[in-house]
Amino acid sequence: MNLQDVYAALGGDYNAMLQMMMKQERVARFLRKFPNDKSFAELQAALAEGRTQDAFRAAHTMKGVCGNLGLPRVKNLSEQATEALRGGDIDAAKAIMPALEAEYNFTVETINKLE
Amino acid sequence: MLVTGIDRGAKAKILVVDDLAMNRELLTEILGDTYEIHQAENGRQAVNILVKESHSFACMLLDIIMPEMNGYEVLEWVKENQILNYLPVVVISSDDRNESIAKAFALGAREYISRPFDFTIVRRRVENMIELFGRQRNLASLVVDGMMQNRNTKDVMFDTLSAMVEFRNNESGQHVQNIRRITGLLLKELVKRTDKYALDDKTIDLIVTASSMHDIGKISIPDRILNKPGKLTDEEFEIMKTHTTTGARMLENGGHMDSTLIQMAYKICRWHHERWDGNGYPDGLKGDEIPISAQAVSLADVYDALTAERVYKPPFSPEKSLSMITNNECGVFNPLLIDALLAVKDELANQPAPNRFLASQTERELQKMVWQLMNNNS
Repeated sequence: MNLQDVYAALGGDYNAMLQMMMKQERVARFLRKFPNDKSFAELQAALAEGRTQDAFRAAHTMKGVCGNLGLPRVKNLSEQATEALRGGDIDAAKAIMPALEAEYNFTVETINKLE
Repeated sequence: MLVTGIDRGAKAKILVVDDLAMNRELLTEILGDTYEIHQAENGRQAVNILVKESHSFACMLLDIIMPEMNGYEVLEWVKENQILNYLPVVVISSDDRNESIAKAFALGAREYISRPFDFTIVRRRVENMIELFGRQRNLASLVVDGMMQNRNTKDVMFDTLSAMVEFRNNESGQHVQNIRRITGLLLKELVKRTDKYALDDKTIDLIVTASSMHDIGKISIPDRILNKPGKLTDEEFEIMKTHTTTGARMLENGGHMDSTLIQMAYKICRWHHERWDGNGYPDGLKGDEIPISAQAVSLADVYDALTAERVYKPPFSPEKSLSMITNNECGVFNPLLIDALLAVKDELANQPAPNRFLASQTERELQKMVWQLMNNNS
């Protein structure tokens, strides 16, 4: 898959990304960092252990990373988790997790197909 | 010569504070061509860097939500430490809720940029911020340079005048330097002991500068009296005494009595031979009728005359000189000043401190003053 294909599959706007970052090579380089980002794993762990503050920061970080990379679907879900956790509602955050996990896994798989 | 100026030959430095490596990398990518990027991973690290070198940065880019110490706390710290006066802070956050933006501005942020980063917009905003502040900084530098130049011109003038007097007086050029140094030491020690006299650092600085002029009246004293090896006759001594009033009159006729420095020099010239018990000259002032500036210069003058060699006497040791002063062999002085003299006797014996130190301290003070003025006006 090329960059356009990846962004199309993930519901993102490649042209907008290119305009913001100005170079195709740069968009690809930063996009490839997504699978290595630890914030999703940290969010899962913090939720499992009931560490609401840590979970909030992880969700917030994840939202930021997705925003930087122009990945709207996974960003929206992590944003919902962030807002739930900002209010301390750990159950609401947990309820979002299945959808977020599916979208996260799909995003990682898709980016790994980038040539 | 500036303490806080940005070296325009080198890249300006930016401090990027963000817990997320990707954000630091993106900002480095955006700005790294033009600026030297330094990074901190949280607020605590940022503060540790700023404590050491806040003056070396042209701008700080600050994330809000971070572990250890968040962006709001960093802003509060920066404000408390008066760093905001010269370091613009740009808050960068994905949190674009109005209340968050308002809070950042209320705490002193100059600019708020929401993520995701648009490379062109971030670069332009940061450039504008740095240019604006750079201009302000340079203006402050120019003002301070101008003021320092003035001060140095005055110093040169004063030193030249007093050197002329010393030359005629067959004294080494060291006398004026010693008077300045001893007067400064005495007054700084005095303020530790009493708040009776209104002596802040600026006033002490002023007195020290003016003390150079204490003997300018001596240019009117005939050589045969001024450089007479033996004891002066009563008549000769009466003429010698007029150097106080003559010096004061010279300053008065100079037409700059509105200058605080000349006013100070006037008092010192006229009254640096008065004594605490009223037995000095020319006006027989008593106690604190004698301005504290003249009192300090008077004691400094006597101590330096005793420890120096003169046509009519060998140099006395510091111990001997101090005991002559405490025994009132050279007239009576303010007991508080005598205490101060005894307290600084070890420092008196040391080599003179280089003048440069004083200059750079004054310079720093000035720079701070100018910054405060400019920020109050903006």
